[in-house]
Amino acid sequence: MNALELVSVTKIMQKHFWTPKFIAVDALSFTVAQGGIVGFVGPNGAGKTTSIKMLLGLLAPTKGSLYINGVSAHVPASRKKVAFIAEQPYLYAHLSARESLILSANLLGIFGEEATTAVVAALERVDLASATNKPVKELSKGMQQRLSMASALLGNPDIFIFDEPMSGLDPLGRTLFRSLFLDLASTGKTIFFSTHILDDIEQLCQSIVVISHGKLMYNGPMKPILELGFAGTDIHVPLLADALATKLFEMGFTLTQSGAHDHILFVPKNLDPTHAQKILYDNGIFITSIQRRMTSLEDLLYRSPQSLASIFVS
Amino acid sequence: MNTIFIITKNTFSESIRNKILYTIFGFAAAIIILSISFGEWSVFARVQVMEDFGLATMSIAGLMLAVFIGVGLLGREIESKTSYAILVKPLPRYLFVIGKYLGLCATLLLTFFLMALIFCITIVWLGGALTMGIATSILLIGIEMMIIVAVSILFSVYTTTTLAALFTLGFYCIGHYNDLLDVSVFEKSSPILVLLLKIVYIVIPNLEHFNIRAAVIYGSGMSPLYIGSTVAYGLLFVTFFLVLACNGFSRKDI
Repeated sequence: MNALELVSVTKIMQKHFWTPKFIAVDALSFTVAQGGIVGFVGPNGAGKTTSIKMLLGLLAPTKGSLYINGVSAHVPASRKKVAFIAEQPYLYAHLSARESLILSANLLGIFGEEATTAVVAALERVDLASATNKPVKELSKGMQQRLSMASALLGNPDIFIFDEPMSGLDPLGRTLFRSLFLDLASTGKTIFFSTHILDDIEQLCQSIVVISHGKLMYNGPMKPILELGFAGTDIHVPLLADALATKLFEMGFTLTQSGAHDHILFVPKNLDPTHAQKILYDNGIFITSIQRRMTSLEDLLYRSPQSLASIFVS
Repeated sequence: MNTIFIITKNTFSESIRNKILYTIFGFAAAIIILSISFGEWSVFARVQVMEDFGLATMSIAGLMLAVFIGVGLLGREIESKTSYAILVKPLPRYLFVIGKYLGLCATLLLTFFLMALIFCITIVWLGGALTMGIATSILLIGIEMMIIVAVSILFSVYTTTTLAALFTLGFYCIGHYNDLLDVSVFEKSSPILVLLLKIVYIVIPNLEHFNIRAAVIYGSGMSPLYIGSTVAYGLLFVTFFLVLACNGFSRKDI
């Protein structure tokens, strides 16, 4: 059974009745297996938050079905073992950090001593024990986000759905969240999170879901994406003579000058870099360094998400 | 039931901190106390003027509280999305609406009770008697407030905070002038208009039923049947508006 499943989900939205309708999510289907960390990526307006809200029952799909642990997402019980953090910490400002968590615990059916123990543990886990009695409105955005995380940890959920959870966090907060994600994943929990911080995707995710304009571009492991990002090899050499440069150019290699004394010979991924190395060696050229040239994840995911569709289909 | 109580408690603790609540309460209390001097300018007995003025002030203050606290609290919570803290939990949404309603009612009725207390102390201080009529009138104004809160929640579910406040005020006005919807006047000219007015007449409660100030002032008591049926009438409309609000909120994209 999949942790999350979207089946041909379409959401048509309209900001106001006088504004035109638009398709926020377009026949989107994907699944997220149980356990592990899955990134949810796409440019602004791709439909990530809309999809997450539909999973949480905050929005109703225009067409299609969504399931959490096999239970239809419009049934409140589907969220029994689900925790959520939004980009903005949505907390009651009149409560203290502790009261806020007690409220969350109570709503999950945890009361009395059990609630108190769970709240203390959750606050300690997010390094907020010192702010236990501070009113929420006096906490910084980063601290509020950590409080949201503490709230998410209550009730021992199996699935964590986070919408840009790192937003507003300082570097320490981000490190804390990353280690929490890894801790939770190591205990078999499912973490599905949207983010624009591609570094987090690279470091945390075993697989990702990429959407663009409400449509699925990719759903699968990270490895093929990183392989797709391999553009070729850069060979750094001292400035080459014109005759040799022309010969290499004719063979399909690209030569660009780097500084006053160096050339970079680019070997596209469809050509063999050892062949270029042999030519250079035969001409007595000393190779300074060799590096892999990668297309940035940002380029792949945001500027040309369609390119992912090819590997997804294959 | 536990969940409703938790949401009610949270709503109460949130709304009781609202500054508007204290502003309206302070203003109403000041008017009730100041109305002692109004009696001297009137041809009627001082206590009668005080009773009339005090009950009217409580009714208007109740409306203001219901509009500003009711619409403001729920509307703002929907717009600012703090409701996510509760709505992403495995709970049916109607519990949220009912919990909010009960929490708001608890706050407003507490404030109303304090206003009534000041009003009663003032009456006694002027040498008047606390009659059953006064108690009944206060009860019915309380029920009227409960209807207004339910309506403000209903409008908050369907529209923006500002529009919900305006609609609730409009509802209060129409509710008090419901008697004037003299359908027969239009009967011959336009059957569509007649139908529309009949719908308005049925859907919007006649809030004048809750206004028994004249009877209190002139000492003509209200029958227990009238009081009972008016309370039931009010509670029926509260249920009706809450069912509509719950239904709307359950389908609402948030």
